[in-house]
Amino acid sequence: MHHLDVGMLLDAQGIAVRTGHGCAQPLMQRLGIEGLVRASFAVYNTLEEVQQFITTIEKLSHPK
Amino acid sequence: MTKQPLSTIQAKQDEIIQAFQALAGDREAMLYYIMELGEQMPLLDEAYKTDANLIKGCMSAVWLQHSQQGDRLFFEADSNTAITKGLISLLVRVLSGQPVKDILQADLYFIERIGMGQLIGSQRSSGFASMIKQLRVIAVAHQLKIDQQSHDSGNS
Repeated sequence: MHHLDVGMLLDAQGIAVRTGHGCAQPLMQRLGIEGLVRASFAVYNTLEEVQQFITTIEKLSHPK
Repeated sequence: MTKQPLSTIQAKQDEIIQAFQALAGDREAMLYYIMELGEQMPLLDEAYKTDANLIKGCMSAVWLQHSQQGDRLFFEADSNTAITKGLISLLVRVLSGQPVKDILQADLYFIERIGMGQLIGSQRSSGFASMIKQLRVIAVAHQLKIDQQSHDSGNS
């Protein structure tokens, strides 16, 4: 799945992530990928939110 | 006097509005539906995925190929992302196969009615606007060609 699609589907679930090059174009070239999805956890995130993120990613990896 | 049938562009837009209404504002379901519509679109021949067919102003790569039959324009498209492919497929569904003059005059009210702006956000809305602009540019070019041809045949 394309990183932009993943970002938008996560956004629809209220999960904010960074998508794209992440200002690291040389790394993207080296890895041979167009872009990535980056989830950043911070002090205000709860364990429930982390679990919700994992569940949503698992759901996206196994589409209906 | 018989009642005028709905113009096809209008009928197609109404079909889309109805389908989206059934999803009752569920943003995730709407995005999946858009991706499904993209998957249903006929495959675009790899030979048409050229730089000339790339739409400028989209974050994703979107290729738009067109052909003309008489006064009608036909569109085919593809994209490297599933949601964007679904978005261009909506426009192809509504406008492909329609007379050029109808495409030029088309009021694409379905976009507002399905709440596209809120659904896809500002960045993609700007890309979506670029797709519409490109479709209109193609239609204008063909209308000019048609006008020129009728002018030439009028002179001969």
